Amino acid sequence: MALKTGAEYIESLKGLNLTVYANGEKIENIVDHPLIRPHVNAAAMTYELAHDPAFEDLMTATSHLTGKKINRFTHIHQSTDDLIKKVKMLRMISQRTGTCYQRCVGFDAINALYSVSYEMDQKLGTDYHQKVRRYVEYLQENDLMVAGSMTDPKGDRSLPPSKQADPDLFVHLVEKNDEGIVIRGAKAHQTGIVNSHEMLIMPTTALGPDDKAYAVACAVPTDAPGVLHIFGRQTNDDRKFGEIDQGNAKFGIVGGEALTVLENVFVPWERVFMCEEYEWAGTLVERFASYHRQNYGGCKGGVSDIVVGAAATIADYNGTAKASHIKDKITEMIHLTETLYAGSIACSAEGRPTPSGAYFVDPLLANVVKHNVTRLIYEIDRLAQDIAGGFIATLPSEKDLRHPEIGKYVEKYFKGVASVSTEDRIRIARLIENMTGGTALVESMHGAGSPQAQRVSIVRQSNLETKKRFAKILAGIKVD
Amino acid sequence: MKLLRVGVKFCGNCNPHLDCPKLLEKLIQKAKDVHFVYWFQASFDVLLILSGCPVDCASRPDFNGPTVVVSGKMVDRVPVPENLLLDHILGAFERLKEG
Ligand SMILES: Cc1cc2nc3c(=O)[nH]c(=O)nc-3n(C[C@H](O)[C@H](O)[C@H](O)COP(=O)(O)OP(=O)(O)OC[C@H]3O[C@@H](n4cnc5c(N)ncnc54)[C@H](O)[C@@H]3O)c2cc1C
Repeated sequence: MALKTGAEYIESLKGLNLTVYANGEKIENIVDHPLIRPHVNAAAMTYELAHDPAFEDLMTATSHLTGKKINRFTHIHQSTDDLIKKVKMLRMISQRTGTCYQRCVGFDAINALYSVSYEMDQKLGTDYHQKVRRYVEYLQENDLMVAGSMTDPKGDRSLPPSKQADPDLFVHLVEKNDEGIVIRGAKAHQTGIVNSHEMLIMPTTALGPDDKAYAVACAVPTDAPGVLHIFGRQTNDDRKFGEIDQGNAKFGIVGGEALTVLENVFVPWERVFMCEEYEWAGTLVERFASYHRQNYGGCKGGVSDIVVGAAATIADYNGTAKASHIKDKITEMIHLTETLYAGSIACSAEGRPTPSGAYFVDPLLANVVKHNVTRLIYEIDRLAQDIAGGFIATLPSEKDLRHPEIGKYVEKYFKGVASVSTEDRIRIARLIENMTGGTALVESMHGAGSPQAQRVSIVRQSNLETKKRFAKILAGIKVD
Repeated sequence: MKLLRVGVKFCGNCNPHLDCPKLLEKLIQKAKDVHFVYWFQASFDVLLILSGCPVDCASRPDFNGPTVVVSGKMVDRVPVPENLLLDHILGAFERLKEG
């Protein structure tokens, strides 16, 4: 049953038996819970849009495994065109959700594992790649949503996994037997995991021989015995129980992240894709990170399209749209947005085949994109807040606007230009407030890795010696 | 009168300079002697590519017959004022019908 609809996806979540806690309570019905529902709605868009002829060229692909039409989020990239279409798809969906729809992380995880498992098998004589292929086919056939589970809690950052005071601060192997393995630990910041069907666990860092037990990659159903999710708080999440004050009530802010605890979780061998091959952990991390960093000019490009549109709209509503500095700031926001997008397109266009046949992005340019996101989104959002005005931080609540006695004052004193209703001005202000601060900004900083992680990759791939040589030749310095 | 059967393919609309689904609605209303199908639904005589911007990245289905390409505000790469887009597309269909 390939290509689920949005409704079928939501229905399929009801069939899961997840253990989820949020705000100190066990959540029995994640689909209808106000803290979680917006993220479910956002993820459902990745399903629903695949059925719309206007978007299917981006949203679907032909499986190289079965020849069937599949949701692109379950596809293994077969060309640079696939890589480019991924970026365009992400921008297009973001323009409709204004937030993260979560499904790219698992998408990147299956692509990373697909090519790395092939290379492992070539070198080690293992049989991981065939298992990954069967797993990907299973995802495609059932159109499943997979969380990409890389980040461990990490404890003392100066110590490797095996030297931590608590061995569980990185996910590790506890037991190997005839039927499979048992793992323990936790994965942090898990985007969309409480509304995913599966989680794909990978190591979080390069590993040495002492860390062999931490070299584990495997697939686990999100409701497997021993798996427990603690849903994260977000800025302003008390507002989830109203509407206007949320800004983007339907789709929420970022992806709905959780800490996922793995208490002695059994994984059958068929779903184990790395087990103690510590030399390969770094390769897998790098490959996943590059695919994931590729995304950010697409998804954040689309999110920024909304922020640009909202800033231009509030300028109209405030009566400032014709001021030259406002026009200039909007122009700057567009310039920054397209700079992000250009990087994502570039690293995709410069993609290349791996030995497995799957295509991989240019890792240098992919790291550049994400590094830009850690800065330029802050600048785009700063400009939006500048244009919007201070009332985005001081607005009374939706309840005050609707209040029988004081509502008239909110109406009267939050009016902008006469032709626009106060409610519309407040709505766009709330959208800007919620999209440009707090949790939304932190995602741009740390999602897909903190800035330093990109700088390490950038310098490693920068071909610095050649640049020095060019300079020396021009300066008349003798070179060999 | 034999209806011209047109197969429609959209680009995916990540950068819509043009609202392609709306354009198709208007075409359906105006072109009474054309039968529109989506490219994957049935066979067709003419392929109509509706790309939202000039990049025109819509992938092309296997089809050897005549194709009309709208890419942003261009028809077959010729810039067209937005209010004349419909007429230009219909004109292109007309010429194809005449052979
Ligand atoms: C909204 C959001 C969504 C996310 N989604 C996912 C997801 O779906 N799946 C997933 O696996 N992960 C996800 N992540 C995790 C993300 O990849 C991490 O946040 C990121 O890798 C940084 O790790 P950290 O948060 O533990 O920060 P830290 O690693 O603690 O980094 C904090 C600072 O310390 C520095 N630092 C860290 N270690 C060292 C060291 N050894 N030496 C010197 N400096 C150091 C860093 O460079 C940084 O400046 C998400 C994160 C966010 C914020």
